[in-house]
Amino acid sequence: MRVANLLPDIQYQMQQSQQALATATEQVSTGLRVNQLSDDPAASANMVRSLAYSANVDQYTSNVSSVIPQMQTADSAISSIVTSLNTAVTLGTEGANGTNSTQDKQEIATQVQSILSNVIAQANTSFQGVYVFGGSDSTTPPFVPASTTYTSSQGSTASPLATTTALTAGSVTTISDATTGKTMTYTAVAGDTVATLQAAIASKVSDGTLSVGTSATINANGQLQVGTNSATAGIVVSSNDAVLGTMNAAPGTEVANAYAYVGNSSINTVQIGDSMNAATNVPGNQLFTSGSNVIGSLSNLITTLQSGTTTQIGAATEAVTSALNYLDQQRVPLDNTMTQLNSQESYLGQEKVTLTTQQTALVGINMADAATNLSQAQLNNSAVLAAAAKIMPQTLLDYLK
Amino acid sequence: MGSLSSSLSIAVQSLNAASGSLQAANNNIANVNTPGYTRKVPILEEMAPVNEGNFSAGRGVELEGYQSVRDELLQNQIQQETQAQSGANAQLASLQQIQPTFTTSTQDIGTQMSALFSSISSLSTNPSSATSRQAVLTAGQNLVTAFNTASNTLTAQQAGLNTQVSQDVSQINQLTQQIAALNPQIAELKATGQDGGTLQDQQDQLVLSLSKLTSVAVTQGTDGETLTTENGTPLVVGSKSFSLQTTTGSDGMTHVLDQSGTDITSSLTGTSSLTGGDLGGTIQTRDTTIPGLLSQLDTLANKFGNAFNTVQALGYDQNGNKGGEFFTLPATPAPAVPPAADPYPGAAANIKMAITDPTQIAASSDGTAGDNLNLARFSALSAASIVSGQTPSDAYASLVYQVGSLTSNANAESTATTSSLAQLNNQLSSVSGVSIDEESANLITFQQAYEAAARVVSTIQELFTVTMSMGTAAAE
Amino acid sequence: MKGDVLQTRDEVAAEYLQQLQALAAEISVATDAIAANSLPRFHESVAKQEMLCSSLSTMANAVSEGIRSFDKSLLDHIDSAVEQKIRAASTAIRELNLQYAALLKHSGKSIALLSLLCNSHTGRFQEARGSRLKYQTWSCEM
Repeated sequence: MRVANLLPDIQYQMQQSQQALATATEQVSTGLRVNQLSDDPAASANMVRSLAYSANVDQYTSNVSSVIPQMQTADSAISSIVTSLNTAVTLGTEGANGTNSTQDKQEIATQVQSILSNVIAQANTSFQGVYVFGGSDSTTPPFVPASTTYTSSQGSTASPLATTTALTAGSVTTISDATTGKTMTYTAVAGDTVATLQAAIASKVSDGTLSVGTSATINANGQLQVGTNSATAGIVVSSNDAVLGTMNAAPGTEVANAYAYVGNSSINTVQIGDSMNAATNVPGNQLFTSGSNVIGSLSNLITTLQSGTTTQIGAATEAVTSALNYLDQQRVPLDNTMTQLNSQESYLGQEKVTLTTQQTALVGINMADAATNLSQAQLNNSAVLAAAAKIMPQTLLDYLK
Repeated sequence: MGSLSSSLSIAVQSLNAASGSLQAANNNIANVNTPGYTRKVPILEEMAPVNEGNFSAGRGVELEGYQSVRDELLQNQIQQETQAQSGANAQLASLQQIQPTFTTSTQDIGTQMSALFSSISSLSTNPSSATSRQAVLTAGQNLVTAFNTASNTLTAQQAGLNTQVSQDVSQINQLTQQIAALNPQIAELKATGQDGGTLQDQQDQLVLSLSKLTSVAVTQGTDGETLTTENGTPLVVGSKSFSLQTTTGSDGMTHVLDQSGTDITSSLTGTSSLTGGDLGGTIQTRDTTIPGLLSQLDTLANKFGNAFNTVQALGYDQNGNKGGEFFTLPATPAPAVPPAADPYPGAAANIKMAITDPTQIAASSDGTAGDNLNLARFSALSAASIVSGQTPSDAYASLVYQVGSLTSNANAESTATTSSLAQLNNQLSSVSGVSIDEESANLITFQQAYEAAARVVSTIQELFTVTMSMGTAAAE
Repeated sequence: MKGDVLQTRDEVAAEYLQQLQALAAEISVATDAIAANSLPRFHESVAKQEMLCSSLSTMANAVSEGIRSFDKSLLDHIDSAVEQKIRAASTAIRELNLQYAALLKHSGKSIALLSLLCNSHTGRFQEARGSRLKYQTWSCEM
């Protein structure tokens, strides 16, 4: 059984018992015994420290709560993709059967196409406006359809751009290549011209960042045009240089089964304990376009089904299987973080009770009731954790040790 | 209870008869080893009768003489305790106005520091969120306000105390003039063989009023009472009074000068911290207590602000630019020799936010939009020993403790001196006819009881800790 | 053993509270006695304080001992209203104690001075006429 599939259930149970823990702490009397600092200077000073600790605990708890749903979203998207890939493998195996006609294979290709669209939709999952697979760049969908040509919105036949046209210093132009899965980022410095950009692109083709045939030229309309030669490879171009303006995919040349990753590779961390940081995302390129990559292998399977030999279809299907296995490995950090978050959530709940009790003892009065309820809630929580441990030997046992 | 006292009475009576020693009469007294009563039980000699004029010989005269010296001693003690009470009250009044600023509330420095760290941590879950960024700036502004307010409260107190100094000095001058005027009149009466009478009483009252204001040393002379400050600055000599003056010093504070223009401000604070009368207590609070608190406050503001600025400069803001400053702080003056009391003057009063645009918060560690790794560095400051070896909240907790215990001590002194004064007044008006032996015996018993009481005080201290942790697993 | 536990923690706590309150009252009595310069009253009050402290110490140890021994019957929580009052009384005593200690220091000094006066009394002195012999100089070790 996959660990990930059980997590939502156990999380729910743990959340319930954690709720009870939190409720146990709500029984704090409003009567204070320290009203002025001079009433008990030591208690007042300790109160300052205790409040600082509990403010931290509050924040960690809040961080955990805001991050868990986001990661759950990511996790279920990955699960969905895994299911899709399994289906794709079945389809591919069927397609590699020598008895299929071209039409048969075409139909299968269409089904795989729809699987790919589904996978892309999952890869572009967002949670409350945050795209979860874009690395730290989370404000736009990380996977976009690649085109073969992009054209700048500046320049015209009347005043065409030229190779000598100066670029704006500090501006950034990016080219993401769906085939290589890599991105070129070009930052202009003072003195750079269109020619400099062209040279940069050429060197990126040489070092394999961009596919062979990618280049930038000035077209008949006086605009800068970035394109690749192949009708099946794809690029996504963007620029914030006013001289070039926006880069628009040339209509009609969109390559629907090739997608480019326009996010980044950064991993954000969030503090969930005094010395504990949780990584809150796994970048999409790491999950879906690296190694035997998910998107590439599905795209390839479609192509071979449409126009390849049986052998090629078979090889493409195997590639999808590799991609599936690779994805399984890549998702492990995500699962680990979620486990860590859940156990930390319980721990923080207990910490909060301890601190609240301490503060009550320092300046308040009603400790006894809270203590009683706490022990009840703690018993419940332990039971839940114990039950969960039986089902998740690999992960929770680490916590319970 | 009764047995000890009655056995002492018996012992005293037998002493009167046999002039044996108290020690022989009672074992308990023999076991007395109280400090301050070190060497021995008083050995009382048989009193030789004295004949002089109309006075009868024997115990009566002697008792009167003893009584008067004892009264003088008590009067002197009353003066001391009055000074102490006024000194403590002066300190207490100031501190009670300072206390609220450092009491945990929604606006105190400790709470705002926590809130700032919370807002930064919250931002780390979504570094591009404009709302969360604005929340960080707001939290920073609130903290700045808390620092400014705390500093202003302290300096405002000092300004008020300056006024108090001037008022006290002018009152002192009035009193010394009046006391001096009485000296020749009293001396005249004495010369004709009469006692000072009501004029003397009047002068005593004036001296007591003066004691409330400042520490006074009184000596008797042929031309009346000579008054000086504890440090020897003359206030009244014979019929002459010496006025004190006030002037604003280079530190902006009101200084006290003697008649010849010498600055005597720091000498007026009394031998221990709270015995210099109202003037002494006021100067002590203004020149030592408050500057001490200000120095800690300024250090906290300076170190905290600079630490934030350092982290800000390490990162990149949303516009891809390297971070500038987070807080604006006044420049730190070059270290003085000897070191200045406050190495970061004005830090808490003048700390401000350096950024107003939320996009300028340097969340990113490498310029990538959406990266949050520089925020982790901000968060780490809460646990770092950036304030003279303490974390920010520990440094603030120390400050809170200090304000609380200064106030608590001043309060205890104030209350205690009131009771002590009552006791002295009672002793002063206590029955004449008490023999020295009897009084001595009483005093020993008092001292024994004080010993026992001191032990109880310690026990109660321990009991407090035990009671507070009673019924928890932490109880020892 | 459970059978020997004659009191629940609630009962112990109630007694504890009573004695705390008595102790607070005694400290006030002692303070007043000093102010009134009344030796017998002071003496008596200190003796009572000693007894109360001893009793409170014993009770507190017994309660804590119960926790450490995990005797279930002793783990019943104390009535929260009583607990509240215990803490309030304890705090009041702490403050009173501070003032009491300061008073002992101040009046202890007065008593010590007078004691030294008696100590150095040699029976000889100068006298002048007048009912208020304010101008005596009396040299003695102070």
